[in-house]
Amino acid sequence: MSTEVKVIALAGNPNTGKTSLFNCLTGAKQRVGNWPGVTVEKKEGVLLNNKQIKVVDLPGIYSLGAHTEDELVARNFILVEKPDLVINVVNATNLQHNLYLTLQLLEMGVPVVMALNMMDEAQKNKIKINIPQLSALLGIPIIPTIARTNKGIKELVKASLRQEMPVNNFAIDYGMIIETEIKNLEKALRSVGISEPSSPLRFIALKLLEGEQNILKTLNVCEVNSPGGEAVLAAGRQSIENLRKTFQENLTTILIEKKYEYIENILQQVSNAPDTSNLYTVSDKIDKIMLNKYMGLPLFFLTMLIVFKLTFAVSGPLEVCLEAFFAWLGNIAGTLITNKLLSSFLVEGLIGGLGAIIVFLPIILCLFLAISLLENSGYMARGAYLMDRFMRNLGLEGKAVIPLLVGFGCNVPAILSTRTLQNSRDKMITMLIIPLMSCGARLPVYALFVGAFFRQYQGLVLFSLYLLGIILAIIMAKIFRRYLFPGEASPLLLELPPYRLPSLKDTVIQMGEKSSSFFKKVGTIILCAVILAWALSNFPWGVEYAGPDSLMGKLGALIAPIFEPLGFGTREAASALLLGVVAKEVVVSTFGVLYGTGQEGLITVISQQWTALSAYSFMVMTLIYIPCAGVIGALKAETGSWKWTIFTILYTFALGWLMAFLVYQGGLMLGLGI
Amino acid sequence: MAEKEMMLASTMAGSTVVVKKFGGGISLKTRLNEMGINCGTELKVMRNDGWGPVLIALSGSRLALGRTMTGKIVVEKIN
Repeated sequence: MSTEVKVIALAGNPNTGKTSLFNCLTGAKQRVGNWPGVTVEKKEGVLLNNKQIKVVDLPGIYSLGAHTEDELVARNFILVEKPDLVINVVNATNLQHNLYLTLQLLEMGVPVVMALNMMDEAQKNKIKINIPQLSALLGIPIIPTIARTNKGIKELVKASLRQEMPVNNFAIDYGMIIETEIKNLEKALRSVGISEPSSPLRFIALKLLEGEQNILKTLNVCEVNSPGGEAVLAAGRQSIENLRKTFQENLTTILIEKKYEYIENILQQVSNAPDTSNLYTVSDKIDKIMLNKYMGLPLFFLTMLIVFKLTFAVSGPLEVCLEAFFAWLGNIAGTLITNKLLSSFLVEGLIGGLGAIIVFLPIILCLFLAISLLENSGYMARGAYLMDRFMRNLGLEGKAVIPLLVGFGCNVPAILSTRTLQNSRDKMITMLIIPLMSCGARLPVYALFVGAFFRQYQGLVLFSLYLLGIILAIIMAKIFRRYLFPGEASPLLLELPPYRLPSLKDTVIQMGEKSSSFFKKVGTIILCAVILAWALSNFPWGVEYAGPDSLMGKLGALIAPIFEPLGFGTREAASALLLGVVAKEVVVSTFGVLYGTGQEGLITVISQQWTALSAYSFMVMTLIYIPCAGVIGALKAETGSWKWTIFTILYTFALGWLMAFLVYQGGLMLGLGI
Repeated sequence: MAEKEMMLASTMAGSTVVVKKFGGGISLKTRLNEMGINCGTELKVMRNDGWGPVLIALSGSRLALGRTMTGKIVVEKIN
């Protein structure tokens, strides 16, 4: 093996504390993005005490098969990018489960160091592991760690950077009959010029036996259509045929069973693990209540309600403070700079834009703190279990309920939190319907029109709008599943980790990472939107802000006829909707400016110039039409494609128009248009 | 199906079962196999509400399996 380690990959099952360990190794400075072409999260960092060494956190997986996108990403990284070392994070309380991935890593022929994590919990459960013996049996260094308290990390780094990495010659004895075929295939591979160490022959042979013909392409060992490739594949098919005569079972199953036999064998030698299958743990006792047939769901919604109430109780006042601060900053800048154009640009465009980004910060931080606590405590998995039965009817996995609920607070963190979903199609559908969740920023618009027309029925009217959003989300989810992302929702296969006290460090790192990705990716789009809105409203220079002679006024007048059948075909309404794309609450302040009343007299003017029906129609439009700039930015960041972002803008506009049209025309027919 | 065999979906919470057979496609079977659910594996049914996922205990971990999946796993009750 090469003497210098430059890239380390972290691989392990879910719930092994892999993320904690990654945080220990790299500290808070991490780069988060997506793996190319997929919506699987990619995390990278550098070793704390050696900045030359890159650490890549692979998705949490149970195997390196190609069943899920996560597995495919991890496998391709190891096979194609060839990291110099894989640190295999293993949960010491559940070796039997975890060693399967270890065996697969070893069979791939990559150098492996094992971090035997959660040693404290293993001790608590009275599990003893003979580490030197396990290390000898597997032929790899094993370092006991407790990532939550940073124990064993130094030793792990030392073992990983040791100059002479032992050559990995690991092989499981699959029995004479299978071994013969493996030898045959190795020979076939060698005969067409494929050789070690550049290609792991035994691994390729095993994959061929499992019927995975595209392994040749993945590893780029030879062209599938070349004579050599044909010969190898033919040999593979012949071997499978030979073995079919001996074994009744599918060969993949047999190879898996052999691995588990091997694990069983190892465990008997090195571990005294008491039989835990009949043991009721503390978590099981908590789950008796939390997952109860009747109480489980009410408790879930109660938890979410408390989380949101707390989130808004904390973030609300902070937002007010920040808004006041930016208003003050704007005032100062306005008085200092005498050039009208420059000062207007600075105050309304730049400072206003920065303000529009920063006001998101409290709610983003608070919601992600909440999500991170739910996730790290183990309750998130319970929520997914409880909601799976309902979400499945929408063609989504249970976990999708979390982003959708977060959407009622703010659509932006909702979209950013879809990353925790496993299936990429589920992720896409969830992101596309999140804008239909009526967020907090749409409330001021509702408040204005409800105040003008529906004072007696305000609860009912608000409820009807939220409900409309939910119903449309359900319908659209079904349509998208059917026509855009066909195929069954992936079956639920979810581990419920034991309840744990969330680690402060991991929570803070996760929060910081989400917020910085918001600033980098979403922030620029919000800033652009605010500056564009400023320019449209103020040019040609000298006109009244967003007045009839401004570009915005002309644009508003131009598109106003589109809204005529909806009951609000006025320049004011069109301009307010256009500017509302910057942020939905801007609709209200725009009306204030355009009707020349400010916020105070607005309700009176609205109640004179609008009808109850057109007001309701406008609220429906505000609910559904084009998501705000923050959401557009988040969609672009998470889907990684302008195509789906623009699709969302177009479909929400069309759907909003259609619903408002139905409301207004239907209302007119019923004689409600007075 | 033999006398004591049934689908995992129709087992009672609290019972211990042994996996006998897998219906459904090879990819589902492989996935379960790789998670450690093979023929002969002993599972304890922790929770089965009659709808929604079934929660099982498998050597120390707790796994939720989707309803459709549990309709494809044949088990035998041993306790």
